[in-house]
Amino acid sequence: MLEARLSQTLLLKKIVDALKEIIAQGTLDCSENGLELQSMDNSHVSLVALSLASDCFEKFHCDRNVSLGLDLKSLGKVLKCANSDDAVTIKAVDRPEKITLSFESDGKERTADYELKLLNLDQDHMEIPKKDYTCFIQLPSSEFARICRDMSMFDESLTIACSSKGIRFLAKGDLGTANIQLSAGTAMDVSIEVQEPVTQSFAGRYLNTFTKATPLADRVKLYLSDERPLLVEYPIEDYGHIRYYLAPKVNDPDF
Amino acid sequence: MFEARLGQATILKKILDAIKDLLNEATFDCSDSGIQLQAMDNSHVSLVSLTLRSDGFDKFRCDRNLSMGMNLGSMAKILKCANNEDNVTMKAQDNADTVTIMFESANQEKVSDYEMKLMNLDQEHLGIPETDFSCVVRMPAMEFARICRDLAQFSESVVICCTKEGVKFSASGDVGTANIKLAQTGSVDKEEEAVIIEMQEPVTLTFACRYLNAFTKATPLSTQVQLSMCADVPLVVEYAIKDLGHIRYYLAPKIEDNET
Repeated sequence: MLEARLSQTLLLKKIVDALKEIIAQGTLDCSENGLELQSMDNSHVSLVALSLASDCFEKFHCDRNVSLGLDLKSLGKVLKCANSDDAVTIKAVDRPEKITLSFESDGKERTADYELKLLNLDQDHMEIPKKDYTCFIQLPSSEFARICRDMSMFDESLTIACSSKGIRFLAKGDLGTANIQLSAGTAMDVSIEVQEPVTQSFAGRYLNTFTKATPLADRVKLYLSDERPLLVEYPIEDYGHIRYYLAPKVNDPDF
Repeated sequence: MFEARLGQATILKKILDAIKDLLNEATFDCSDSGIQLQAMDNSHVSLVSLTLRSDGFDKFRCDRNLSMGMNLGSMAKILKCANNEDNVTMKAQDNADTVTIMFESANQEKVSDYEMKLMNLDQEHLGIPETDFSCVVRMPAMEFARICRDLAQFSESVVICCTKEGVKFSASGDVGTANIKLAQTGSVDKEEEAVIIEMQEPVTLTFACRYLNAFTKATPLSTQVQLSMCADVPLVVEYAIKDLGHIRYYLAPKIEDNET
């Protein structure tokens, strides 16, 4: 049996918003350690991995591993029925065909139960080694969202060049070119660790979709390494994270 | 080479917002005295004239006269990428086919540069003769914007009648009629709230409200607006751009007998 309780529905809403633009369905793997979800996007270009440790939850009970196939759009609709500050409890039996979501308002003046049918989804669980990336950048997540949005006006490709001097974002298109340079410093709170410079190009459309996770974290972490997928990570409070992986485009940047 | 730098991107954003609804494209004429832009709107009914003096910029350099044709929609998109308090630098070479726009945050922790392709626009520079206007009205820009917006609900035409007692804005239509009178302000506690009228001869003129409303997009640039009127001459709606220059809109009166 699984029972997981969060004191505020808002966090779950934000998580589902961060996922549902990329994947329509996903399998939530539940164990005593917490909840994990991993899925490629519908066109199999990017990968999203969600991890919520059991400590994230006010109450967490999972005495047997269970996999829940979820339609995220439906889940999003159910969550819309709750107030952000309601407590939410997710329950499922050992061989579930459905999950129950219970919302309780403060003081339990209003309680609501919803049952959501589960799906049978075949999905491989890939082991993603978090090997040593050669570049690690932290910056305000709202700044990263803004850069991705601004760059997408210029081209569908975005080139990220990372060196000890800073990180540069470049895009070039019919309108012209755009070039944004961030240096490490205190005002914008950007930190950059570089062992080896990296320059890679990515499809801007996916980066923009990743930034749907901006409400989850004040800061975003970018990991880059030659010939490795970009990793965009948003911490979720103290015990979780959502990670997006995107393979670089295979062409030499023409900048 | 041309290089111009402003301490805050917000002023340039406001200028673009003031002209991009009337003009899709325009030529910025750069010389050592500053930047000028003059263009008729897309339907050739009104004229916009922008002047930015070189001494209003933090830094201004223009070795050789230069004309830059710009798509104003693209320019506005680029300016959206700046924070209001970023400083902004525009640069172009002498025979440029692109202009570079650079934004720097305080401490230069974020530096962005955008290169925008320029256009070849054929545009005549009309000489606008100095006119001795019969009436000059200065009033709060927000009040003028509100009057134009309110009167547009009544009619597509607005009549402006200026006498020594004050200025009256009127509109008449299916819904009914609207009259808004502003009297000249006596003692002025706050200069920006004053209504000041200099009149040599009474004037009554009718204008297409749609254009007046488009002109009021310049309201964020100035606390006061100046209306200059003379019979048989285009109205001039002028917004000063503090320490930098001004933007002027010209609109010919409608040719019809006033029924007011």
